[in-house]
Amino acid sequence: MAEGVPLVDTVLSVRRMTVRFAGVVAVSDLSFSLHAGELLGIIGPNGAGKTSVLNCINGFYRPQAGQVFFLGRDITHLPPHARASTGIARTFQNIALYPHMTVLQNILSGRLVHMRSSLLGCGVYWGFGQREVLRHRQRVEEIIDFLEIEAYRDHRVAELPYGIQKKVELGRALAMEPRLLLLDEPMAGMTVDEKADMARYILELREVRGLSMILIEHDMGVVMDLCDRLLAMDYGRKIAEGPPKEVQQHPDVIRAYLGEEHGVAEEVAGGP
Amino acid sequence: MAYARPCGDFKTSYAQDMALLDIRLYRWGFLLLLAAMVAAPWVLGRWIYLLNDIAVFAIGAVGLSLVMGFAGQISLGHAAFMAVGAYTSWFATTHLKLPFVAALPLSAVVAFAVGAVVGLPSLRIKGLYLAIATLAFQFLVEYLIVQTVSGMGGTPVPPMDLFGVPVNTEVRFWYVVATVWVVGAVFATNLTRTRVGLALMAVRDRDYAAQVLGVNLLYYKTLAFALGAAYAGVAGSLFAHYNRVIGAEHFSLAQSIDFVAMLVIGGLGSVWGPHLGAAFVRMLTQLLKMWAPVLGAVIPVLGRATTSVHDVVFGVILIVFLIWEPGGLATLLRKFKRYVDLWPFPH
Amino acid sequence: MSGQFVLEGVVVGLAVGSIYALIAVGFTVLYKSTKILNLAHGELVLFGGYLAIAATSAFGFLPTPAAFAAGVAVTLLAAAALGFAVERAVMRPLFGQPLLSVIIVTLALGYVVRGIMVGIWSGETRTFPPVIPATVVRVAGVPVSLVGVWSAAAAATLLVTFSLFFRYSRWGIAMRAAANEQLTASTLGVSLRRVFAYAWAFAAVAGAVGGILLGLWLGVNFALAAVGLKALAAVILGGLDSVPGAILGGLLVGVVETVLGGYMEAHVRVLGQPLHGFKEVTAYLVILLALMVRPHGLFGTERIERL
Ligand SMILES: Nc1ncnc2c1ncn2[C@@H]1O[C@H](COP(=O)(O)OP(=O)(O)OP(=O)(O)O)[C@@H](O)[C@H]1O
Ligand SMILES: [Mg+2]
Repeated sequence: MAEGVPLVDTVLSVRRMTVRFAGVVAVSDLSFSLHAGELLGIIGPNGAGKTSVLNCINGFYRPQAGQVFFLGRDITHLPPHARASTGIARTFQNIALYPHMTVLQNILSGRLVHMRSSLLGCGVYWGFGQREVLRHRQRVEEIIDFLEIEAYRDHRVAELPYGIQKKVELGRALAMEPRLLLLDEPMAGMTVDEKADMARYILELREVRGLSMILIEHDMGVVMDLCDRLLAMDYGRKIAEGPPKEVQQHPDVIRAYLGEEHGVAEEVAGGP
Repeated sequence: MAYARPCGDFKTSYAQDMALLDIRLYRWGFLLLLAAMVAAPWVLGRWIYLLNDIAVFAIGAVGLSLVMGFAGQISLGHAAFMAVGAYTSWFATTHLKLPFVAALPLSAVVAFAVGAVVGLPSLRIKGLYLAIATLAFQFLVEYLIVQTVSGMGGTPVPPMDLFGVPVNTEVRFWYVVATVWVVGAVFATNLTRTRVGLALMAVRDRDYAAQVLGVNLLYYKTLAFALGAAYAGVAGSLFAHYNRVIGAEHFSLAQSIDFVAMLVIGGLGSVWGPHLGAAFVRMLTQLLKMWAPVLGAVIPVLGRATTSVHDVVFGVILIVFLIWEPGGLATLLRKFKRYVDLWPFPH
Repeated sequence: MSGQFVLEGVVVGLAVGSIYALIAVGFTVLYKSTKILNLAHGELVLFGGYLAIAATSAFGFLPTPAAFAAGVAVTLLAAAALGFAVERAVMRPLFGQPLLSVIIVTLALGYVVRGIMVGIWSGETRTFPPVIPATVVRVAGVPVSLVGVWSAAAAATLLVTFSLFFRYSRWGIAMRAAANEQLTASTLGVSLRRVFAYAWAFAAVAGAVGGILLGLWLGVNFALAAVGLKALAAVILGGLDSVPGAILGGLLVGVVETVLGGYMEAHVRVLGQPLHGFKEVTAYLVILLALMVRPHGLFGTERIERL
């Protein structure tokens, strides 16, 4: 198997996590874990707290209570950049690329966690600094190939269509060679074709690389197809967890979606 | 790392692609530029002093370009860092009796350290707050200069001495300052195309994403400030031994704002920006000094004071650039070049 | 520090501080409704001071109080017009530009305004004709000039008026709505453009009033522009987006400056030198300390970014 697969079976475990904002309980006493090579889907109506969970895994939000273990290590108190170095990468619900940089630079920036050249090495360039950049560039080219975005490599991302930007964001996360990939609605707002592409990349990453992933997605069809397991949230609480089929039929899940909006509820009940 | 799809034949000549002066034309251009710099004293004659003045401030502007153009952090106290370098060099050569070749790097190191301290809170204080913190730093340094060393007047600085050779003419100074200028500019340019530059731009473009993707904000923001200050320190040291007298007026808030103007006019985030901007601002400053009385006579509101003409002209230019050409001269030049390239069939 | 010294400092400091507070409120309101940090605020203060003196002397044919009133009226109108003009000509084209550009533009504006004023008034200190007799009264046993008392009283009255205005008037509510969520405000039918324009006008007027009051008391010269930066200290201390914070911050800066600054100047020596003009930098020390200890000020809101 590829080198990205950890030896420990449980990659991530979140224990009794609670996040509050003035007045709002975004995540409430949530526990779950993720096995190696597993693709876990998190579903729930808007404002259920899905993104907040990812933010806590990243260290971007500090939960009021609870712990996060990654590869058997307690990372609850690590700052966000240090968690990234342990091998957690992500994409964002609202695209968070570096708008003034090119596609290539954006993806190369994912390699920063692996760059080791010194300040002097960078400034003098000839020699070590140059070699390092070239080595990383090679990895970046592989990713650009994988995502089929060769045509855009030297474009500034701000000028690119939405669907391409989503791909670039995935590319930047992959460039980190993560052990855990967090995807926050990677297909939101995409065309059917683009969704199919994205689903293909995710499947390939899981099947060939054995990458452990958490996927937040509103499109039930996609979720049911891709995920090994689902976790449903509402008002920050876990309301169901298990195989996709079971979670989909769970009465609390149907109720949560019904309370929110009819269309989605029918979609949930009707299945893919 | 093996990705699912077999990797196609990606470009293999990255070395060529990434080289600093990849296209042969650029390499020739760079050599030509160096040759022109060597020949400058013969071509310019006594006007070489203009170039000396530009060079000193361009070195400082390169530093600010790292802070503002690449890391996206606002500094309104760049002249204060220049003061740190200038007074370090003064102290080193007069009180410590160090030679200039030691005083120059010492100025860089001390300014680097001070820059790091000032930049340290930049993690907690963002954008607006940081601008204000640097402003406060600027005023405190001005106050300290007046209170402790220079008073309202100036402090004399000994002439530059390079391994026993006194650097006491404009031409000699030119060769010293030009060397530092080229080395400093190349070093900064290399920084911007490797790890450091990539991280700084990431911080500039979207700091929260950068952080989540492994960029240590505290380290890089502080580093940007420290590096920027080090360049200002070098500029300050050169300025001190060139001008031979230093005082609060040389490192005032107005000078800090002039640095900002250099960056905006030259082009933020561009490699050539600080150099173009420094040339523009310093030349215009010299011109205005000469022409202020005339301008004041023609446009009465400007009065006869050089400072008021300078302020109004620079204020207006800054506003015009920010509204109509935020990319500065660097972008203007690029557009012009495209236009020339396409002539006579513009598309 | 003797008790009397502190008491005097506090009384005088509160009086000056109330004017700082007024200027700071203009600053905060602008920041709250437009998110623009106006580095030209000091120049607006200066503008008010000089213009009021010039206008008052232009109305010299009237009896002094009437000339002063007319001068002030003209100045306030001119300040409002300047605010509108700046918003329309410079800030609106920059809408949506990066923070960096917007801040630099305010800096450049300050340059232009100041340059023109130096050109016209060539930097001499000017004073108002004696509107208020130059006598000294005792406040809490501390001697204060009558002008100071009047200035402080005027500033306090205006502060109360503004606070009520922002709480209850239609425009006040619209501005607060814009401050909270620009997008929501625009969907609720609040015209952001108008809010921005009025915010600029308000900031210019508040600055000008501050300039007039300080000018009455201390005379007008270019050091007055530095007062704009003291307002910055007040605002940082109070938290950029809090009006009560700005008021409290202004009072605090006034008191700290007179008590601590006065003490340092009178009693502390560095390298055998007395610390001349230490008062002037006290505000900056306050800024640096406040930023280190409480970056969001005493009352400012700490926003947690969303991803
Ligand atoms: N930074 C923040 N400040 C204040 N409240 C927040 C913040 N982040 C999230 N919240 C609140 O926490 C709750 C959960 O938000 P979260 O973004 O995690 O939901 P979500 O499940 O990702 O929703 P969506 O499907 O809309 O993305 C919401 O009520 C939201 O308003
Ligand atoms: Mg979300």
